[in-house]
Amino acid sequence: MPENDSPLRTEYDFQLPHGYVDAAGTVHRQGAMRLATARDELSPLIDQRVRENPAYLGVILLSLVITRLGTVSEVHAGVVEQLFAKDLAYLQDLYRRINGLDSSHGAVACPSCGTSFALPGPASGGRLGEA
Amino acid sequence: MTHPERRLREESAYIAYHFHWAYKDILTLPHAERRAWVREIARINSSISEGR
Repeated sequence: MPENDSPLRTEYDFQLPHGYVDAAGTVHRQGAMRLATARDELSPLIDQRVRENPAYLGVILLSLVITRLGTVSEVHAGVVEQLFAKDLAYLQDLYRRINGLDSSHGAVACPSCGTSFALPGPASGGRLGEA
Repeated sequence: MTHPERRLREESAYIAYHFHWAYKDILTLPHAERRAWVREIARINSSISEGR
């Protein structure tokens, strides 16, 4: 069994800094994001939009894992596209944190000059099963 | 903001090879849980190779 005996938390509530403004002018700030899976990250790779623009992967990914955003009936890629940059950055950061891609695993700061360096994290380096 | 594609496939294949779980089921595991099972398989393999 996994080391952690507590039930796996799979969904996280969030509040957008600005909020998504829909066509009627309503602002939606409260939402929830579920944990991502390998399928979420692999399936968009065959999407034509991602093939043409790899950065679009982030948009599709967020549209898959955001389970709720205010009273928006469906959070699709078009909704994520229209988010303010600050909200998008906030959601990308939340995604990284809840999915183990947090900078604490992959970056260190030089104690002398403070410059940050990327390091291979648990998801990107080493052999399988070796922390 | 994602895990490397190669790593995802590597971990999924590792679990499928040892546990014979369906690929589609492995793909739906949250990242932390998938990695936890990878560690568990590695632990089992280490125990076996050390004769314990």
